Amino acid sequence: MKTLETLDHDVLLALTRHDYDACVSLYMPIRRIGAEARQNLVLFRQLCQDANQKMERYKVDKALQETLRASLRGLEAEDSLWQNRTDGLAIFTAEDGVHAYHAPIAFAAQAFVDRRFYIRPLLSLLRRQGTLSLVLLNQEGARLLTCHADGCDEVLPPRHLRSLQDYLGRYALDKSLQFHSNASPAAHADSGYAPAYHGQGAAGDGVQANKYLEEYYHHFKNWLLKDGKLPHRVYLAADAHNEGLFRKAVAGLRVELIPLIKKNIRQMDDGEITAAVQAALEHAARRDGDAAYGDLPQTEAAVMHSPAQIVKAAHEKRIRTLFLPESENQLWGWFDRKKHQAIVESESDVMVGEELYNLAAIRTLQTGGAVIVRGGDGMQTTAVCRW
Amino acid sequence: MKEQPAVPDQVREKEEVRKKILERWEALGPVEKKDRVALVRHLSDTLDIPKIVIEQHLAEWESSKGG
Repeated sequence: MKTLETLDHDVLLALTRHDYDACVSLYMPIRRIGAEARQNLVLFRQLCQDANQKMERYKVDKALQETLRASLRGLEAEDSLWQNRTDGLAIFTAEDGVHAYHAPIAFAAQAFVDRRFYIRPLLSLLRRQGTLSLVLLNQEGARLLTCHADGCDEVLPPRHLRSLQDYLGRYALDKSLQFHSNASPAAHADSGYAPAYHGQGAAGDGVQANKYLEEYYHHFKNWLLKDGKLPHRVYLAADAHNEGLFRKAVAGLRVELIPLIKKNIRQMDDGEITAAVQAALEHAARRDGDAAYGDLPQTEAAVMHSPAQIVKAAHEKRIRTLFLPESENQLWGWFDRKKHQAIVESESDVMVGEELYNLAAIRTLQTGGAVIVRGGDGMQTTAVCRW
Repeated sequence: MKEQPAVPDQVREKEEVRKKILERWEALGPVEKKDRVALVRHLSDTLDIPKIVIEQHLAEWESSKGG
């Protein structure tokens, strides 16, 4: 069994590069708590049973049926599959192996037998692709993180900008301010960050500290501006006080500051950051998808809605963007390669069918097009063609 | 021969900073020096030195010159 660690465009392409006589895709939610977790195997067996019935009905070759059944049976003993703490599980089985993907969303339980892996439930997860720039601000200092759905990487500034104390210490401005000192110097050395100023000390320290912090943010912003590190859109994790000072520092620049988490966060591996980043990436992708859908070309020839036309266009490598509704209405049939046309038909009783929207999505991805899953009233399957 | 005491790094660095600031300051004409706030900001940004440090050095220098 091969576990798909991440999910992106390239992983989907690799997963769908083969067409088979028949293959099985299973999707299920995962229960993670104690006794309920036992239900996962029960549900898995039900889905296997469902897939078996479909293979019988589609008259899949007996030897192939047995190969696929054996692969699925073997998964019951794969502890890693059932002990992973994610919300959803997708399993793909074909004659050449098994792939599993632990997903951050709970899938509806479904079993598919198709000529290629059924990937539509995964497409909405592609919305979480991409990166965003996140600035963490607090009394210790500022940090720039480049975040993606699975975590964050830090972009380190020069040593003197890594903390307010480093910044002030460089010019001996920290003498009058008192810093927290309960953590050992060794701990600071490990983290590379100095202890936080705690806002107490000589009279007027608070006012002075704010001035210093504002000036520190100003120079941190200057560093961000160098080499184009300051993108058009910057997300912030900061309380209102630090956010206000940072906004002053970047005033006048063409930068959109978006509060992502409205409190001070010190650890970059904080689970709260990952969840907020995933939501922000998805939100940004939805907004971009809505903008693209609202900006469809006016030429009728370039836009199509008929499933048969869309599948044909996908095989002709014509689709630039395929919009699929969030609701997973399935359309079964097959693509007649000799006549070069898509036949729409209810689920077959005599052969393995093809879910046509899944087929169109795969062909679109394989030919360099984009597939966007979006909701909204009146949303219908739409293909925007290159020609 | 008596050994010279080592110059502490911080003192030497402070002197270098002071030199950098005053070199830039003296290169400016009277018209440019009129908007002192903007000028201090500019020096701070281009030298990557806190505004308050620029102001301190300028004030020390001006008082030493009696102006």
